Amino acid sequence: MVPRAASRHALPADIRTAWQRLGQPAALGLPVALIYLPFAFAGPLFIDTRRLGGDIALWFVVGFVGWLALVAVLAAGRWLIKPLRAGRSPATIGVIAVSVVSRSVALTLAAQALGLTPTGEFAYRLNAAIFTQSALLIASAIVVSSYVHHGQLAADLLARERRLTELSIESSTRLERLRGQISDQVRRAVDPFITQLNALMSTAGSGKEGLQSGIQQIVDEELRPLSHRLADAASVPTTDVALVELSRSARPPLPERIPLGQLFRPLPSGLLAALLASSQAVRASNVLDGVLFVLVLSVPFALGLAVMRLLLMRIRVPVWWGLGMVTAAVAVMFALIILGWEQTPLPMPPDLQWAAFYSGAFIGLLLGLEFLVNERRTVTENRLRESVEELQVYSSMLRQHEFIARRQLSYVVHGSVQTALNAAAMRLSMAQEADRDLITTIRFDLEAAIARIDTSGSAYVMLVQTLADLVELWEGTAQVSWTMNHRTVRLLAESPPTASSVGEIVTECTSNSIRHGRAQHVKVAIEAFGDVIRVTVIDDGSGVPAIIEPRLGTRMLDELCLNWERTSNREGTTLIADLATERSLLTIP
Amino acid sequence: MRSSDHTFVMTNESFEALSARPDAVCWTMALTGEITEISESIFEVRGLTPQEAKAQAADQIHPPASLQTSLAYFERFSRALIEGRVPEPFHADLEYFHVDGSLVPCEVMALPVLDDNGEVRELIGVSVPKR
Repeated sequence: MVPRAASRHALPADIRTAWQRLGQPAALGLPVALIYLPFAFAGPLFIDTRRLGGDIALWFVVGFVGWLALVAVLAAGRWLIKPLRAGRSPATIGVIAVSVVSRSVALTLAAQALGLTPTGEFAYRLNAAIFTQSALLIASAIVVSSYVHHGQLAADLLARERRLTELSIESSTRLERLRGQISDQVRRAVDPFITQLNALMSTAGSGKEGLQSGIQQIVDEELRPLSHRLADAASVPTTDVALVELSRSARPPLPERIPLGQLFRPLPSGLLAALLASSQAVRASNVLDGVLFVLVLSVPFALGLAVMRLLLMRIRVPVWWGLGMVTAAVAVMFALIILGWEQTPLPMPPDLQWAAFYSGAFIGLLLGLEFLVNERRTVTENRLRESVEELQVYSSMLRQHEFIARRQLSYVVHGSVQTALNAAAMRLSMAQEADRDLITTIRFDLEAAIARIDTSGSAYVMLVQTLADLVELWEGTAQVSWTMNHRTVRLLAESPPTASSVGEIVTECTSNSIRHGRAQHVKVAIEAFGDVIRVTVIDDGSGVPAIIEPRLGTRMLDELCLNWERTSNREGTTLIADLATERSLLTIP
Repeated sequence: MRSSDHTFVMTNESFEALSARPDAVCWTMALTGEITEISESIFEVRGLTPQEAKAQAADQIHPPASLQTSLAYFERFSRALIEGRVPEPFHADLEYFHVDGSLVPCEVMALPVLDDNGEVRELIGVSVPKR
């Protein structure tokens, strides 16, 4: 394959991927709001009830009103940013910010309306929205969007795998159909001639002059155009794959067991813990106490999870058990840290144990799910990459087969059938009279020539001889040289369509270099790179004029190659073409 | 296989006679086209060590005409293997590049080596400078 320059990005791949996922419509969908739902009730049910008192049912109503406000803004935002073609990720963050602020407003108003608090504490709720709720919602959006994206990848993979199966069946059917059509067309053209031959037999040879002109007509009006159409026809098995309906079965199954430690995510967990703590830090009496609270909550939490990650990395557990364990472990750890710090003289907002337990469970579950989704996505992406490569190679080989088959049919029509007809015309003109033996011989030759159309399978082209003939053909006009090694010869010998395709490409490109580029020297190198054949043609000509360039074998190169590129400069033109071989198909995992 | 036995035996005798020459360079080629072994006498003939010779590209070994002859044979050899036939032996005059840039004309003979099951295992050859 033609090597491509590696891309450079300033951001790590994980962050880039997460940023891209935020730009997907699923990032603002209802599932995000549903995942966030437990959190929407965390503050009102576990903190506000203890802090402010009041009926828990009323606080439930407050939480629900806040959640509904958030859902409404998310839905409106999703609809508003739908037409955007660029900048969808920052727009999503903007919508999330507005949604959590709207939730704060709704909570404040609802709490006031239900008489749970005289002020509504909007500043406190706004702070929680900015630092905590927005981060949790963004994390939920990334998880949901990644899951949906993974589903699309998996569906794409399934579609490509199905297409591969279809292609292998289609290919043989198409070639058979093509042969049948050509055979029918030739027979339709030649049948009147056969009828005339039969009539000639019954009229004892009179009218053979008309038959001779009829032959010329068949050759000029039927066979020659048919032969040209065959040689020029573009026929490319499509590699376009329609996305199948999202299907759960398309997703690769989860592994039976995973290392438990992998589900513990110290850094993102610590970050989320810090953001959660920030919403409560405003309750501290001064800034320093608030900062200290955030640090004493998040840093030991992250360190504790890092230790657990290391300790549990070698223990493999069933996936869903692992998810349950990490949820429970993170919840307990978060609550224990709060309880622990409450035993010290350090300043600590009161009544946070249950909220910490609840939030810890959410962090553990969310990040565990995120790990699983990403892990499966990586597996699917790798399989998809392999599948795309396989499809490209397979399609390329099919195109080679079709191209060569059409060329062979063209040669048969142009060569064998026309030759048989021309020979018939000559025999008829030379014979005194068209007797039964002569007519039988003519019919036999013609039938044999037509029968060659139906012969399937591609004969191997002796490529070395083709290249030697090419050097001889241009001797005196330009110096053509070529090189190849034994390994390449062997690989091509195993792949007759590729050998024929290489012959066609080298013949076409050499001819173009000399005829259109007026090259004096043409160097051809045929090399094997793995299971791919690379043909390099370098000439010292003036290049192909732009006006005729698209016609010169471009379609043939498109049909036969995995990829190709042509570059021209003052020194000449270089063409590099990569072709798949039969062995490429065998080595694809 | 049976039809080529006769040829194989006759050629084998010629091959042994040729390889018995003191300046003969014996070599083996895998079915994939890689040179696997070359005798030390290559140094006398081409001024290269066996390792250096094995690392050479085909167009560094032969000038174009000889390269064509060698590759054309290997192409027939490969096709015969793929089609399940026993490949024909090779016998021709080829030119080799010496390390000093001169050309060394050699008589070259190569035979497919069969295992006990009659399967071709490798190609064994001998190249002898022409006197």
